[in-house]
Amino acid sequence: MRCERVMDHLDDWLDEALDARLRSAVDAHLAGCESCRREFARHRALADDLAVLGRIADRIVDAPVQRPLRRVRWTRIGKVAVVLAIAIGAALAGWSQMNPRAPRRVVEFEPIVPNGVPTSDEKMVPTRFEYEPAEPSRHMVVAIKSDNPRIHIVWLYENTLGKQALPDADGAKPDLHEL
Amino acid sequence: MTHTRTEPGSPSVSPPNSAVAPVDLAAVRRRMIRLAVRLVWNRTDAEDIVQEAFQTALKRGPAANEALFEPWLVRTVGYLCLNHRRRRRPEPLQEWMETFRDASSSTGSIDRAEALDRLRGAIEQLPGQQRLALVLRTMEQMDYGRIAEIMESSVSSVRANVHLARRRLVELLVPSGPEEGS
Repeated sequence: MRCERVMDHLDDWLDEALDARLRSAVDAHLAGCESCRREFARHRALADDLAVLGRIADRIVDAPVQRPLRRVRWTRIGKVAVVLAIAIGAALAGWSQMNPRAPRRVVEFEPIVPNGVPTSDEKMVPTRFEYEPAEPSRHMVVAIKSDNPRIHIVWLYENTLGKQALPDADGAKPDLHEL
Repeated sequence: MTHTRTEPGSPSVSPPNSAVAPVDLAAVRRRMIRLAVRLVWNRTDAEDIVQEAFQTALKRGPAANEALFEPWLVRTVGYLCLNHRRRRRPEPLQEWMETFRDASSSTGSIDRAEALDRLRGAIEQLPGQQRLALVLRTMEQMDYGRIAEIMESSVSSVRANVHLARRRLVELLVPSGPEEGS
């Protein structure tokens, strides 16, 4: 058998797919041809190394615990935690910017005296009223108590420019005083 | 590659009142991970690739109880691996080779690990078709006919790809190739 014919059977020889007669012919040629013997030996070594790589892959897959896998997963969890913390912080900061908490306000006004002339028994101490504005999107109605039944003081707080006078409990439209 | 292996307790899919053997999806997944590891050499990457292949199968692949399912899945996993951009370091061979250290094996040496690492790198330099055909033939131990079915190619084409891959690897590894009698 010539060298070219022998090399044609290289793959089947490696795969051990040659029939006995052909296998004997190839082996006989290899015994007397150093060049082909060296080439076949290189391929045989390559096939052995490929088989070892395959077995290593089996071990990698069959191993119950993967150290690199665990490290990577922990790193992923850490990254996710950091991203979540940043996102939550940014959301809270944005929320506080969009919804600033209104400071408490203090209103002080003089009592209304009939005929404009206070008598000796009138209490002239200014009324101090402290309140906390409601959320900007909602109205807040503040009714100021008065001893005078003819006077109703209602302060409406609203975020829009328009003012709205709400009827009181008995249906009468109350007076509106700007404070 | 044994295609009839099953693992107890694993999920399976089979059509009702059908003579078709149920598909052991857990065993199929394990075989696919094994193939992917042999192509990308990182278990986490391999699991990600197999997950992607199963997701693709759910969307537009053949049903799990069809005969085309596993060849389609092998082909999909194979091509995903060939197109895979490495995100993680390949598994260090030396550590895994230490598990082979026994009286009948000489695979534990550092030199051997380096030689196998060079081989692993050389395989990655092969054209995709040659690389996939080589791995299916030499590591998965598939016959040429089945490889041709998976790669949607002819047997002669697969044989040519395996032959060219072997020759190319020998050429690439000539400086460290074994001499006669080694």
